[in-house]
Amino acid sequence: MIRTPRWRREEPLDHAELARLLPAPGDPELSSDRLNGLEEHLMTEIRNLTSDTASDTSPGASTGAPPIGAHAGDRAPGRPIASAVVRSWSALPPPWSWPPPGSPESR
Amino acid sequence: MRVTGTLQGGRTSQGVSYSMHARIRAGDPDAFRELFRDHAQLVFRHAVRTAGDLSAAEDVVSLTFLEAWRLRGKLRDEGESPRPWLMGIAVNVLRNTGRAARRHERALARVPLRDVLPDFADELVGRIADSGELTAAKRALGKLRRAEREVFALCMWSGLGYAEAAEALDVPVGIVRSRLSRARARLRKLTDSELRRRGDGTEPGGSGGQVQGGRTAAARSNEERTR
Repeated sequence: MIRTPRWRREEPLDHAELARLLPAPGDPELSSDRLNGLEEHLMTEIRNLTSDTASDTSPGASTGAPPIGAHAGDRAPGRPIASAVVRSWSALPPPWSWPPPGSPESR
Repeated sequence: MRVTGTLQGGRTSQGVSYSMHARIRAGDPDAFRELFRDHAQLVFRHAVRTAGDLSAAEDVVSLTFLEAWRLRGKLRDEGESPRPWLMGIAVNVLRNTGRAARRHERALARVPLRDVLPDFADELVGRIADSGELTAAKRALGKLRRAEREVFALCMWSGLGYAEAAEALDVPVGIVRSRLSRARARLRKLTDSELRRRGDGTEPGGSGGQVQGGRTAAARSNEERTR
């Protein structure tokens, strides 16, 4: 086994040298459109998950329709989230409570 | 704005950041939107550079934030930013993308499809250039062991400090430094070998016997004409 000499193990790490030892990885970036699409997808999924939690804990609440285009295992064509879906959500009381009751930040 | 609870120290900047940590733990959707806007590009770049695949990297972004939602209760009140915690989740997703994808299969199926073709030619050229760079970087990164690769990518390419990388990987800071040091040693050795191989001309050639330059040059006299 080739051992790294002790003087090299204690050598300070030079980031410039480290960066040169590998090819530059480029600077890939998500377009703003794509970023927005992924953001809205995430927020929709969070709303779905909190809705599931609310329906589990509240026997009287309706379970709500499954999200648009939901096909397990398929890459269903994405459609813009209807603003009506967002508005209907805002009418429901949030299952989470923020700030927590009694906290200094209670609005 | 201060959050009461098990905080250490009383610095104002820590108070503001712990509020964000607490909001994430509490499942505040606005906090998650903020988390996404602040860090999605970082996660994407890290995923692309590590995996070398633009399309897979987008899935990693979605899976990372879905996992962050699932694991939000585990975010501790440490550090000024949830970035190390989030990057730790990204690293775990990259280690086993299949498992994360199965866990969030339905959500992943609902991700809006990307445009297959870019709208503009320069974007296409940019994608091709990125693809070449990424392939080369990924191939080179592949020469390191996984532990060294992760530390290298986090510290050198994604800009995390040693303490942040340690938090992301859940290892002591000294381990981060030693892994980087080993990565450096391995890369130096590979670079030295490559330079020696090119320098002494012992590079293995193609099939023997073929004269370079084509039939015309081969047919001419061997008399030296230029010096």
